[in-house]
Amino acid sequence: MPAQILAFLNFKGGVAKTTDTVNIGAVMALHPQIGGKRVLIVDLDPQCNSTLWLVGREVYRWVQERDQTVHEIFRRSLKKLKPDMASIIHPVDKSELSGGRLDLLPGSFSCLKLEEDPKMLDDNALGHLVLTKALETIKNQYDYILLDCPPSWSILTRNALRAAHHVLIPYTPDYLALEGILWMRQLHEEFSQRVGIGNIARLTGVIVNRVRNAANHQYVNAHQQAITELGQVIEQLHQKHGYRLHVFQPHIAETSAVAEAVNYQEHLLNKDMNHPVTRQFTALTQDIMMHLRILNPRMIEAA
Amino acid sequence: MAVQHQEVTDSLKLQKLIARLREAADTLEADEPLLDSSKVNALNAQMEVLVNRLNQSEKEALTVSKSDYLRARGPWLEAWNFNAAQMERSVLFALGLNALPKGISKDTMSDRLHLLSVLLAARGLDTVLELSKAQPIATLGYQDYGIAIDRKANQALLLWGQMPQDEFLQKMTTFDEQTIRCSAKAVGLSGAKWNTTARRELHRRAVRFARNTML
Ligand SMILES: Nc1ncnc2c1ncn2[C@@H]1O[C@H](COP(=O)(O)OP(=O)(O)OP(=O)(O)O)[C@@H](O)[C@H]1O
Ligand SMILES: [Mg+2]
Repeated sequence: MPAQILAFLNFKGGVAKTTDTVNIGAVMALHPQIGGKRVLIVDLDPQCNSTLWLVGREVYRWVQERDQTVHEIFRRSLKKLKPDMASIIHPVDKSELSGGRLDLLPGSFSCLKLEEDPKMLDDNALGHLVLTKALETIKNQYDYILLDCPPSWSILTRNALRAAHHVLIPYTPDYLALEGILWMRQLHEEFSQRVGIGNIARLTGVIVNRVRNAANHQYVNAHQQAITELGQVIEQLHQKHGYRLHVFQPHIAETSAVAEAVNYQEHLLNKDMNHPVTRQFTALTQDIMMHLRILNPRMIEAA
Repeated sequence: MAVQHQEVTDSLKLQKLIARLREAADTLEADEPLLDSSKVNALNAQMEVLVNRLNQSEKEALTVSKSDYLRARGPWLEAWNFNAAQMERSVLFALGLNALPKGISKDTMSDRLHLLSVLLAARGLDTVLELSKAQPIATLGYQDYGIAIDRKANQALLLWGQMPQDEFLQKMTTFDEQTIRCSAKAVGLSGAKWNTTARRELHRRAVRFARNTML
């Protein structure tokens, strides 16, 4: 079966898109029990956070100099050339135990300039199919392809929406991020009206991040209110707009272990396998994979 | 559909064992050329015996319908996330056991799901849903959004959030106590004695709720 392509997308910045992409990808590929999948992470964000996290600065510089990055795909497409995917995909990690592997298609700062190219303009349909075509050639080599998206409406996000099957919306419980979900819904609807529903990823679910322990507050639990608000909004999106978003379980706790893992340039599974947050990511990944199977009956048969 | 307690315990143990064997078998298979075939054969024979026993002792477990399973899964996991100790007690009670069998942990998702299939087989969908609902959080409604939504509380909050503070404070004495309690809980207020400060806080939160969620 060809890969399931998942876009981690929210136009709000700093809601843990990168953290979720990196760690869910790692669990899918490398977890000794539930891993074993072939996973490719595509770093679509010019900030290159997932690239820097997964392969470190040296490799990051090395691939930038040779443009063995996402940018190469777009550069070649502008010249009507096919990209050589094998030469730009970078192996990150694999597990003998589970048989899975984690690969990376590195990001590039140069992608920022794509926006200025007239051939990439928003109304040019070919411009937002570049990634779809590139992934077409390798989708049989992976079980999951995860797209770490920038926090903006750009040529890169449009490409992600066209290439992916599902959008997973990383979310932090506060009202700015709640507004982010509403923008997502609106832009998704506008874009699908333009390119045709069915030609664009489904808004599938919400991943809740950075939940603080209620015990920190004496008598008021601010996160409880934010989660209640999320529930209310999700239900209204369903009733008023027909969008059926699923809030994945469990919610990921706020913990310094995440920043710690970034500083060590390791995903959590490598950095701290038994940390509670690693276990949360594991259960969350299981929930996501299960939910995708329910949505796609072909996957149940294949499993 | 009654299943003997002993059988349930056995089947739990058995499934665990089978999973482990399967894992071992996979490893062996991958390394096969390196191993002597007698080991592989022994393992195969062992597995066959186990599979036969499983088929007999676990007829019920194997006939759990997929749709029942999917229907029950959400509330079930949610109830566990909310209060694992309480769920463990309820499960033990429902199965008539004193303790979970060795090797089954209440703290892993896969074991929780495993317990779900056992309980579905032993007690059926209704009991499982009832049991998941017995958790305080699930008295709120679960509607496949993956999170609990207490519609009654949300409705009340929307209404209160659009009232001026004076009106709210005045009318609050006439509100149904249960509604006040669940609405307060939904916006993260707990253990409040309803003095003026607490009432104002509830109103402030209802206003925020209404503002943030009206599309
Ligand atoms: N569970 C967590 N606990 C503590 N800190 C976290 C957690 N998840 C993410 N963070 C931190 O929050 C910040 C933002 O996370 P991240 O970079 O993943 O977000 P993002 O949505 O990818 O941001 P951007 O929009 O810039 O791409 C980072 O500093 C990260 O370390
Ligand atoms: Mg990011």
